[in-house]
Amino acid sequence: MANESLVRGNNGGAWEDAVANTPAGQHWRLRTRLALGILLVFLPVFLLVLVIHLEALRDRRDSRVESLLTIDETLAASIDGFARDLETFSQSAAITLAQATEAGVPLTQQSFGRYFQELATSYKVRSIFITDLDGKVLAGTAGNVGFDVSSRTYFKALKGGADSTWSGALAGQLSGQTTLAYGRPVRTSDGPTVAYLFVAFYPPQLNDRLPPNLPDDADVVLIDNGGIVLLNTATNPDTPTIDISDSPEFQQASTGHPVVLRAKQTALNSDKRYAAFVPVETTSWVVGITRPQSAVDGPLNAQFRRNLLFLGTAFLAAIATMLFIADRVSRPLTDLAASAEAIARGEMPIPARSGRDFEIVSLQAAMGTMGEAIRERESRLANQANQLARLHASRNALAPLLPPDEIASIVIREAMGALGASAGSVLLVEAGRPTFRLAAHAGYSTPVAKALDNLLIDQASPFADAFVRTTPVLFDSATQQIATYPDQEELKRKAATGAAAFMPLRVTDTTLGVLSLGFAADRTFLKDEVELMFAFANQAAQSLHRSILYDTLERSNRSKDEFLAILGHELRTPITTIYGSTRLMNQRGAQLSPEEREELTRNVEEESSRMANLVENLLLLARAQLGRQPEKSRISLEQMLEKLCSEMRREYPQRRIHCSINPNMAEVVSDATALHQVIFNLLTNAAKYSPRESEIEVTAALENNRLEVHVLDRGPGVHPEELELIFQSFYRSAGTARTAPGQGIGLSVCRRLIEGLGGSVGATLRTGGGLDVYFTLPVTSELLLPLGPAEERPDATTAEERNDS
Amino acid sequence: MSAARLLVVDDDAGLRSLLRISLSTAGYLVQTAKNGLEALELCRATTFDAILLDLEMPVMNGREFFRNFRAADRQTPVLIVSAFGAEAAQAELGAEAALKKPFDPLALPALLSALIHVESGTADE
Repeated sequence: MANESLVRGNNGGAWEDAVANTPAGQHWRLRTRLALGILLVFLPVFLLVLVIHLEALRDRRDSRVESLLTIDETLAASIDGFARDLETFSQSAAITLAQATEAGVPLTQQSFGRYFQELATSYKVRSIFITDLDGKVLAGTAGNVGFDVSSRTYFKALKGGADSTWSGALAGQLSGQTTLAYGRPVRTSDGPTVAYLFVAFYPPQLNDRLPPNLPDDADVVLIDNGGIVLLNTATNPDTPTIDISDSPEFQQASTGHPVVLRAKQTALNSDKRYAAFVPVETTSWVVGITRPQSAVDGPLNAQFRRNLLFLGTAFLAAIATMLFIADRVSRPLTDLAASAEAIARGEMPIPARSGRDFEIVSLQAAMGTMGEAIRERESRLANQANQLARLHASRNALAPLLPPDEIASIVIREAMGALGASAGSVLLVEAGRPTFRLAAHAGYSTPVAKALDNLLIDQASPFADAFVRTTPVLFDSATQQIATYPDQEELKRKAATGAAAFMPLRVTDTTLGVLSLGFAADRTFLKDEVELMFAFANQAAQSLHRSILYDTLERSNRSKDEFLAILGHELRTPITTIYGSTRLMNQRGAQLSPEEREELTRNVEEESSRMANLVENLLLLARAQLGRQPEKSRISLEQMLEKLCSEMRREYPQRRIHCSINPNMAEVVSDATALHQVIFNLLTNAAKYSPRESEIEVTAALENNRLEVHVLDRGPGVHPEELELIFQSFYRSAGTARTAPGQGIGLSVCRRLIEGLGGSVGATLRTGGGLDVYFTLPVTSELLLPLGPAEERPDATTAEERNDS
Repeated sequence: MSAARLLVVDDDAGLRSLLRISLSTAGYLVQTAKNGLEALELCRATTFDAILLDLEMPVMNGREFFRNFRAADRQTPVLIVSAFGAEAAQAELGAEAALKKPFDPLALPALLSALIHVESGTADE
């Protein structure tokens, strides 16, 4: 940012920069750049194509010339063939003439005129004739018998001793037309020359030899070895002969090498020509074929121009198209760039999705989708932030030491807020309670709350499963949950929730209860959410654990105070009696009657025994309240009861004490001292608070691993509302019949000891009067021992192993 | 001057026995009650020179008895005898004296005679 503003400052053109930085400015700049780029790519391509075309043009021209040369060579060969034919038949005619001469046939028109005529017709030559050694025509086809040809160059050549001769262009003796002649001597077999044979023909005769593939516009010239044009198809045969012996093309060709001319002026034509000149081997003539430059180049150039036009058009069209595309592409690209920058800045642009038929649009759409994805992610982050904040809030709220139910309320509130749940509850497990205890809830009706508070721990429910397995139990829908726990369909329907989660409240190796969250609708839990619920459950568990530890500590502290109070209050009375009685006997013994002395002695004995029992109770109470583990051993309940009953009978001789024990009772495992003290306290209580002559009944039964002991008296009982209160420390019934003195701790000690062993105590009024005080105690199973580690639960362990595997 | 009459109210049999024997040996006429209600019955029949009152008792405790008794009799001195909070109860109720358990029974006659003397002296004037 700082750099950018610096650069802008240096430029000094803040306004222009501002324009350039607007999307429109960027769009123009981008379009120009794109167009230039396209031009840069297209120009070399265009030049390359142009060069290729030029090359092709040259090649085509070359091939035209090449073809001209080939045709000319064919033509030369053909003329050469004609010349050889002529030579061949001339030779055979000469032999014929020689043999005829040797046979004595005179070389006359009469003898050979007809023969020559036939030869001429057959070989299509102008004329055939023979001369004598002086040049006088002896016989011939042209009617020139008697003519003297001794002045002719061809006769002179033969006369000079040549074996044969080809004349150059001649003016015909009779016709005056340009004529060519071939001559050779006629020799007899023994050597001497007897005559000269000549064959003459007109050059136009060679027209028959012109190749069929000769272009129409081509002109053919035949030049003799002296540079005289024998034949020129471009001109009238009657035109006077031209001598081109000076021209370079003739001079080069006459040396035996073909010559090619490209768009050159020749000696024959006034215009520029493509031409080939090829020598004829036998006669040393030169055959030339020429084509006007315009005839060759015209079509080629026209084609080239056509191609060029097409190429140019295509090029322009391509540039136009590319510019068009550049324009179209640059706009969305600019938008995209702007979007990307905005996203980078943290803004959330919505790129316009104008309907343009380019693939770039889909990219733009993808960009839009990306923007939405980012927005969604951001909202998820915000949601997570909220959840974290809730977790923090919950942690902060739980920082001070709070009672368990308050902790439960806070965690439910924050977890519901963080996860969007519609209801929540915390169920805790407590010592000596067969059901969960509803510590707090939100969003449930009173009947549902009541049902939750009475949920049995060992009955199948999501709470029990989460508690026992110590793993989260999750249901995406009410249907799913009901399918798993069909017995609790009614409760689930009343709860009116869809998806639900049950998280164990677990601290290291202890499970305290279950946190449940109910959701208004069906839903699938995300991994994050489950982790969050875990976090809340852990937080709750930590705080609850702390709170419970503190509670235990405080209770033990309180019980210490209580213990001291009992010491202070309850020990003083017997001590006063013992101390006072002994002091009285020691100091005033003489003044006392024997009866008084005896009474005082009995007081001391009774109070001492009472105090011993009290001390025993207090010690057991202290042990239970300090959280000591009960010392368990095998107990024969039958023996214990018999012993207690006989002790009571000794203590209260007039009493009828009836002991009834379930006959099939085996030994039980429990805390012998505690059990003994409890039953002793109950019996003492019954004996103290009932008429001396009334019966005391003791029953014991074992069923489903639960020991149940009742102690029944026929005393006045208590008020119904006092049935619970009599188990409280120092509570003494205000009932009129409660006549015996007491410390008010006997029953409270019983309750504490029994609850410490996982049992419960209670009292009911008997029909026909009297009190039934009882307790139940699990004796061989530890299932209901509170807060046991999961490992000690055989079924929980298997469930966990199953989960793990 | 005839022997002074005392009422001992306590739910503990041993203590009642001790107080009865020690105070009769000291020359008092002693009657006992197990609780406040019994004590009120006795007070209706007899006028005592002093009352020794325990606080924690069944049926009717010491406080209830005191309030009922004081409503009818504003003169007889009451000595609170308790293991716990005797002095606090004395102050709270406006009783004449307090004695904390355990106590020396031999010192009790002196305390009682002083109490009775002060009370009767006040009454005489």
